[in-house]
Amino acid sequence: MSTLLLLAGMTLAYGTAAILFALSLYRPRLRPAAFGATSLGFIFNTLALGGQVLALHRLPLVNLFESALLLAWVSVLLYLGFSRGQRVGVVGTFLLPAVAIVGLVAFFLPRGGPGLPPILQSPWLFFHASSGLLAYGAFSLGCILSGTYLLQESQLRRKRFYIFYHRLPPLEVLEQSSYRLNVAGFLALTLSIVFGSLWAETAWGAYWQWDPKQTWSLITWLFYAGYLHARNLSGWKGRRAMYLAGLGFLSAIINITIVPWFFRSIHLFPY
Amino acid sequence: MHLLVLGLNHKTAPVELREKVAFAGPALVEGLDRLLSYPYVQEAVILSTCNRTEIYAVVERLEAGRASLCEFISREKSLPESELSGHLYEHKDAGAVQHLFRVTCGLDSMVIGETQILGQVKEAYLAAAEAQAAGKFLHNLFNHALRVGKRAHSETSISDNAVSVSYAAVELARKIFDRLEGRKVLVIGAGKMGELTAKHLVSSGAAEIIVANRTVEKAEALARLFNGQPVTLAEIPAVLEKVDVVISSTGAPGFVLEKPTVMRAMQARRHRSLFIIDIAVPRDVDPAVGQLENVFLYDVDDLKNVVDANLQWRQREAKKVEGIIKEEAEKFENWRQTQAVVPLINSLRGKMEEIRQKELEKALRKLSHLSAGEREVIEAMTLAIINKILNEPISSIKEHAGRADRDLYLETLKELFKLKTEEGPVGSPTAPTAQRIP
Repeated sequence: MSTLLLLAGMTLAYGTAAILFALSLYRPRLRPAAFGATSLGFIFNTLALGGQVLALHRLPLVNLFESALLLAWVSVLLYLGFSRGQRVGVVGTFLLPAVAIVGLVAFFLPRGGPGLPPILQSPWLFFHASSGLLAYGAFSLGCILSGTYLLQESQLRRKRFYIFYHRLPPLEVLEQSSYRLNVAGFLALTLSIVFGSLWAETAWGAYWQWDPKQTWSLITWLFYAGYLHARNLSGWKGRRAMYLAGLGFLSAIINITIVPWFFRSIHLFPY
Repeated sequence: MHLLVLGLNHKTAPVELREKVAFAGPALVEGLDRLLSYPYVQEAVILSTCNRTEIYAVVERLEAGRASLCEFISREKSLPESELSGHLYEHKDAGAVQHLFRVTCGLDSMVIGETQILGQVKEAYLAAAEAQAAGKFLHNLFNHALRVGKRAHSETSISDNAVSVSYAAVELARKIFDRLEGRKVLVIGAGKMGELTAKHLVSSGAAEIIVANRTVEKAEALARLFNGQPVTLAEIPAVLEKVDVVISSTGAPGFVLEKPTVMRAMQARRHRSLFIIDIAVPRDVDPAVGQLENVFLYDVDDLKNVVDANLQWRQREAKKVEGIIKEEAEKFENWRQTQAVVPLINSLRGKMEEIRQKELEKALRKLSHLSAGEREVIEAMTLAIINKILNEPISSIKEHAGRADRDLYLETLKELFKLKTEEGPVGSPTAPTAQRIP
């Protein structure tokens, strides 16, 4: 029950922040208030995850509800930590509605589920899960930056300018920050796959079994590898590279939503 | 006593007349000196720019002051008053305050929201202060105006977006590239517009200018201006590989840059963004070039559209600025009204203090056995009594300073305490209120 209340607080605060960000496009002085609401939402988000741990006596890595909360948590953490004071801080305008919607959706997701069976109790869990989380968070924020880039690019290309045009940072800044986040996400995903394989070896005796979850992670990894390659080596700068990164993100989202539902996986957990 | 502004600007007078009426340098200082020797003129600031000449003056009587200012301009500039009269406008008191605020914020400028005027208002005020023509009232007024101007620019985006074609180009460059520092610019053609745009780019940090022109001498001349490098038209494809911005303004009848050339260059530069500004008519760059990935092509019409959109934006922001001005003008008006009651308050305080001193002296003479410490206690007590008694009346006088029934209140107070006041500064209690607000 208390988890639901905290979730309500989180969703309300993120939603308020989203509205404040939208208003701050017209009244830039509202920006600090938007950051304040974001931080408040983040506190609720943290408490909701903590509440889940206390209620169920296990790590919040089990169901889609927890995935949703963690994904919002990591993205907002990265945003508050790295983007807030920068010129890309304005992308909060897109991130906050997204996490508010994630909060709303979370109300309808199952919250129960058992913890880890003894065979999987291992220190690898921490490394595998935390690097995986970091990857998904970085990809989320990176994707929002890519989207912002595409929005700004299309305005410059069509020569029709809306309020966003004036508030958004230059294309180059958007491109570079989304690139940095995608690189960070890519490295974290690589680590997560490596840690996961090592863990699989200790628990199940095989590094790689072409489990749906493993396979889909590999597909995601390949998309991002393709993006990095295209951007750095073949000179596919700008829009096309952004589309590739967008496909990578789509595949990452499929990996935590559809894959665990439709395929029987030994992986057990959404992440 | 009143604040009066008399002047002409780009809306009321043609440039020939504005030129004749302008005050510059020593003429301004001497003019201020002579202006103050006119009867009824107590303080003055002359604001003179290429679009306006305005005299802000504190005058004893409106009509006489106005006549003095007219006569002053006419004499200074040897123009008959009849030639001026149709072009002059005037504002008084609250209207004049509002006018100055609007001028300072750039709402009265030819290009709405321009910021140069802020500096010009400041200079005008400093010159008057130096010449000791601006007294307490104008000092307060102009400092307030400058604060309003700064507030308008920081709280609204009235001056944010470019309103000239060449600045619009620079702004677009800034939206594509993070910084212009270290960027390379190719200027094709040695036209004036190209030169102007390049100049803006250089002053925003662009590092290297390469000039390509059909006649090499002209390319060299322009390149020298920017410390740049002249090239021939044939070298353009190679140069395209290393520049970030291209400005084209040749008189050529056909296209100077075609799609295949730019496409090859884009491959060679690994699709780094290229911003092409085509300010030539007829156009120099094939519009198809704009379809290429990471190429941003803007022609003159595109830039003009940007400018128009920015002007519309400024118009919208101007409404916010009007709100700020209204608010600030009210604040100033409050101060002005309070100033009007200051002499009366001083006289009330003076009277009380006089009584206190007299009575204190009498009492202390009788209490000669008191120690120094005890005397101090009594003195402090008498002072406290006066302050406590006066506290409420004074704050209600200040409150009534801005109200319609002010004069009645002040007269009653004067009568009750038999106070004498000298004529106060602007808007003194004896001046009829009705005239003050036009």
